[in-house]
Amino acid sequence: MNTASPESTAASAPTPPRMGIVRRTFALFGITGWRGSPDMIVGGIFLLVHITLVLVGALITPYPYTEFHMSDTLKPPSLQYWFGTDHYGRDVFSRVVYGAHGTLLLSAAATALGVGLGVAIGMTVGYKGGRLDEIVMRIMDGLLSFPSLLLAMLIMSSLGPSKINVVIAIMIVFVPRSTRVLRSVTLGLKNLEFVEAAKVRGESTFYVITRELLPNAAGPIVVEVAIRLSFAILLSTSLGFIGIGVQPPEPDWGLMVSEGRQFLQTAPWLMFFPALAISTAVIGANLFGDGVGTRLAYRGGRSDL
Amino acid sequence: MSLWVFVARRLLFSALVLLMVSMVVFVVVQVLPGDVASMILGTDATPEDVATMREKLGLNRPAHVRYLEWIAGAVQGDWGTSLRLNQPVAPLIMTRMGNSAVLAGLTLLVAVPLAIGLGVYAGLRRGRLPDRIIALVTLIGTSLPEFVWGNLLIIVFAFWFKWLPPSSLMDPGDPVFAQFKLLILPVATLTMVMLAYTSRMTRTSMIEVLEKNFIRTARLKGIGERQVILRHALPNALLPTITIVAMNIGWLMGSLVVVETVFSFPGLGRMMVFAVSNRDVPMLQMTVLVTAAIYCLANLLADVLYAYMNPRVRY
Amino acid sequence: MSAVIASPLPPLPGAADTVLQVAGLSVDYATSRGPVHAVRDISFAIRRGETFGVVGESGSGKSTLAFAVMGYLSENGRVTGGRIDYQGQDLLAMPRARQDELRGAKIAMVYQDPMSSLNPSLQVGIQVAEALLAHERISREAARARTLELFAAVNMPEPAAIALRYPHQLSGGQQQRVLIAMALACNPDLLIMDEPTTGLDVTTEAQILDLIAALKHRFSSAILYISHNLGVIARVSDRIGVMYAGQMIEQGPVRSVFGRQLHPYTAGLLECLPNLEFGRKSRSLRLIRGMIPDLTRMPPGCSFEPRCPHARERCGREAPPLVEVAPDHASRCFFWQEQEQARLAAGNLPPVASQYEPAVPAGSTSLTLDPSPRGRGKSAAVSLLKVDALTKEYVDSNKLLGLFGSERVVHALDGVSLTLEANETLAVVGESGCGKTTLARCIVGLVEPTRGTIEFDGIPLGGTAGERDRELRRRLQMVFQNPDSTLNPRRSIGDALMRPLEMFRGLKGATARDAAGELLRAVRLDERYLDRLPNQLSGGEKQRVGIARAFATNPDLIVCDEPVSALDVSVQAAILNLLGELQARERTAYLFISHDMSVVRYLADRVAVVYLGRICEVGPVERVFAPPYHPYTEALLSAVPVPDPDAEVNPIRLEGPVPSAANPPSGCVFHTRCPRKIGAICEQQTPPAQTGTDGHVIVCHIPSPSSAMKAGRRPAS
Ligand code: SF4
Ligand code: SF4
Repeated sequence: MNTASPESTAASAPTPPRMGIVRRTFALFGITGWRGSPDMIVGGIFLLVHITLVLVGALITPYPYTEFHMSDTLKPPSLQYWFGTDHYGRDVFSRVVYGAHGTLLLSAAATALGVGLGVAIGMTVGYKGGRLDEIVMRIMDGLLSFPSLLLAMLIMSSLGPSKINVVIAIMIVFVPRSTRVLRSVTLGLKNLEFVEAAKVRGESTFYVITRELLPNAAGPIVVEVAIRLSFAILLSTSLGFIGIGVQPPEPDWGLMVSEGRQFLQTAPWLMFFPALAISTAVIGANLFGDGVGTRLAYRGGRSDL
Repeated sequence: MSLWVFVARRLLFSALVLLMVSMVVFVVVQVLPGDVASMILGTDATPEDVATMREKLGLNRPAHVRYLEWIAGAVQGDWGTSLRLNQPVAPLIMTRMGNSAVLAGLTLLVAVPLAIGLGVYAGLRRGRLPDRIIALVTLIGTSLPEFVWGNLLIIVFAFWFKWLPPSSLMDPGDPVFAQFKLLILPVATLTMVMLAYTSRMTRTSMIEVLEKNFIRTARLKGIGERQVILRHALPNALLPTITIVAMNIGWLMGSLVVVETVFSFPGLGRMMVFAVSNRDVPMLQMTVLVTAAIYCLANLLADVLYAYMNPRVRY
Repeated sequence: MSAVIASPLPPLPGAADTVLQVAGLSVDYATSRGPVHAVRDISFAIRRGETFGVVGESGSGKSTLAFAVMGYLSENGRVTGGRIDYQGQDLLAMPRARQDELRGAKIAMVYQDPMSSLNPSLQVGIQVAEALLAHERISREAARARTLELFAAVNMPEPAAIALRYPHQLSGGQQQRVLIAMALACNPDLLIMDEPTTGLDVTTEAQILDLIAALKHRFSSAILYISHNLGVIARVSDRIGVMYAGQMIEQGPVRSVFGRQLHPYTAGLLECLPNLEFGRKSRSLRLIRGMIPDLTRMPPGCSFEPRCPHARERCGREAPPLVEVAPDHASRCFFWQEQEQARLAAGNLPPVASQYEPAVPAGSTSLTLDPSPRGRGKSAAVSLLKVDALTKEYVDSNKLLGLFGSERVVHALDGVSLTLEANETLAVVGESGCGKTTLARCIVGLVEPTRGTIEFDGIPLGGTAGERDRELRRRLQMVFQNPDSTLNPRRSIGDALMRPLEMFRGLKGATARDAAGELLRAVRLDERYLDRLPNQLSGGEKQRVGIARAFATNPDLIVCDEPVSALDVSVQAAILNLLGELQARERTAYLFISHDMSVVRYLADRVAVVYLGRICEVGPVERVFAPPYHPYTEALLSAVPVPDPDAEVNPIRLEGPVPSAANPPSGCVFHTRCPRKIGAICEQQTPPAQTGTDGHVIVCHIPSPSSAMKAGRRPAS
């Protein structure tokens, strides 16, 4: 609130608080005073479930995802086929679990690459400023003038549909956006006195960026990764859905929804389960990002759409 | 500096950005793939076919010449000929764009006031039940992709209740308002998504303003909470929503592609999907260029409006 | 815990005109660590036309007190006891609607940080008129007219024009006048002023204080004036209360409290304050040891006990009550008599050695770990630092492709020349925006000067720090202003200190750690701090680490950029003494940037006064702080509020706005505001640098009264 608050009350002899492993992990990202934010916990659980699916997917699927059961086509969910079967009699549960492998790994890779490059470029030009900053940011402005999905489509059209190309396309969409966010974070940090102290010492640009700035940008970067991950899932499944992303017979969630559309009226489970998978993953990433953001009281550079 | 100088500067800037956009489009579509002709024709094309295609597209000339020709043509209204439809691209784009504009316009009309209202309300009730409910709804809104929303609405309103048609198939040339019912579900889908992003951002902006010292000043002036909100909080909180809406228009353009596919709506987005799937290079590059130009224009308008409304802006 | 002090002060005589009566007020904040007792059992009353000043350091609860009276605590704040009576009505029990009627009308407030307290997108005239329209039945026209009258009453030039402006178009002083006008709009009976001049330049502050004094006579409101600045409090108050850790530890008429200082904390505060009278060569500042206690875990006894030089066994056991020690004057100390006697015995010349803090521990080693001789600059011919005709221009361009838009050149520094000898402290003093910080940044290589030269020990210093030799960087260090950002929040204190040790002295591993521990001891911090993160330290401690970091390289010159301006007075005193002590031991020179004349007087050997990027006076501190003055120096000095209620208020004030550095005035840059301007010559000709005794230079057209002063040949700048 904007009212009188207790002015900082310096404890007489501050002792380092003892931290548990969870808090210490969060402290690494600049989230201290961690006190179970419900957002973060729920989001974390959703994400954890999905990560587990990715890791142990092959162990828990009852059938190979490509196996046809021609006698059991379009069966509703049952004990035998938990999520039902599709028009080839393939087990939807197995396909959704494998889809986690596909969709999530792909989105994670695109996020890691896109945000990673964005961090590197954004922090460098933000810190260096001047001509370099001017030129790079104008190029980024150009890229930012494409709506996300359209840019991804454009790149896909040129590279041709494949998993790797989806990763590249989404990465290219993310780079200018993450660059802009991290640049503004860096601008907020670079005139702080401890950075100037490093400059007065004559530290190299690399040292200042990696040792002085990066640790302080960790929180915003976590937020950025979480939000971008949710966008990556949305983008990659959308590409799959409109048919220019991952191609059949890969078990991509977006593709599965698209295939299930023919049977929307008769076999809605074909669409429902992959849609549920997409939504929970995105909700998880969003909640987690929001939670971390609230903890940091970080509202700078709303992650661009 | 006057507003006009600012506008002039901003226009110049937009022109530069568009120039860059056109280069990006050209490079991605025509230079990156290596041999465009064989890419278009696929792997089993004969060398003769490829040669004919190269001839047809003028690929034998250097890239920069082709680029300049393309831009010159685009500016003069010669937007090329579609490879698959064998029709000039310009009229195709124009009709489809009109259709998409109707969808987008209706969406904005519904979603923006609603989103701002919800965002402001949630911000005012921060942390209380209404805020939580709005937060949950908008979270789900942002987390379900457009194609999931669209299909859900189809299941509910077309299959269960049978109120509305499950698709918006129609002849691209028909006036879109003729069959108003066809527009409802696509607009509803787009609204869900738009609503979610815009209201979340508006809420944040409202909360930021409510924490400002001048709100305290206003309250302690004793002018009553209503006045505090209407005169002091809202004008300052709504300024950033101009930028927020502009940013969301970019997302909306992506959503259009998906929603038009879900509902088989004859708009620009579906045409772009068509162009990509069919490797229709002339059509693709113009469609993308046109959408990017519209987005640029939206941003330009937002910036000018923001500058006009904000006494603090140092142009 | 406050059971002992049940009764407030006896009711005031003539209670009929009592506007505000606070009795036994306590406020808690709920925090994750338990309740913070921000205000504990405070009682006082203010009569019509009277100003009650509340003074205390940060964390003392003074702002909480102000907002509690306004009825505007944050969500986690709660009044846990006591009453607040406004003209006999209990404000705490009053229904919300009635409170709203009073607030802004009969009870009004003036805030700290005027810029953020005004709505940025509304014309200021409207913002003031709003208060009128809310509380009085008047038409819009009448409200507008009244607003203009109010603006005139707060000495606003051109009220009609100002009313149409937006806050960002006004200077800080004007913004504060708008807030004052707003508060006065409905003739309030009670005016609460929360640090209204904090953050303003000293000359602006003086104007606002003059204004408040004048308005007091005109409006006869009761004023509750909150400030951390003893000088300001002494000037505005009739009666005062000194707050410490949520309690009023001494309260009474301003002369009586300042004169007798019947609580050790009051005495300590006054004694750790530098003033315009003395420098450290004649006496060092006293210190108050320790820090304010944790307000969630108050000791059972006297809250000042851990820091009190007079404390004894009883103080730790039993909380002292507020006892009346003189008519209308109370102290919360068992041994106030001893305190008074001790002060009287010490007379007006307190001993040089501090009674509050041990002197330099015996056998403490020099920081000089490597024996490299400091043979530099010893030859009298070469100054340690020689700045010649230094100019820094910023091009403020908003052109795009060289088209559209304008370009302005801001002259942050304009032909500044200075010299600094080894082991000397040169203070550069001036108001915000005068260029003093730019000067510091040019010297340490954070910005590149546009023209002019800097020589360090005869070696020309070029460009940015990164382009300079390692040896030069080692010899030239910096101490920063803001304790909260001077250290990287993600790196331990040890890391912060070991990095320069490694870089410049090649120390690694355990050796570096030992040396870092040594540095911590030298700045009087415990070695255990090596493993802590900055957020586990208090502001003063962080500043000490910043100083240790600068000394780590064993430098010859340290540029200190406002190193104490963000600190409370008791912490400031400790840091100033530490700087002095380290200089004596390490024979380092300081270039000390400050806006605070008293601090400069205390620490500096020589002083340069800067206005609008130019030096207007430079010389030994005793000369600069004594006539003949440069007119600007004179105005600066007369603006400083003196912590003595009987001090005469010097009437010299600067009128008008500070001119833009993009478009400085012709002739003497000070001529637009100079109270002693002698005529057209000031506007037309650059004033000469007149050199007096001891290298005292005044840049002014006024002929020097002293025969020793003779006009120099060379023009300044
Ligand atoms: S009561 Fe004791 S500890 Fe407290 S101020 Fe007096 S002498 Fe000091
Ligand atoms: S030269 Fe003139 S205007 Fe400047 S300080 Fe001296 S008297 Fe004042």
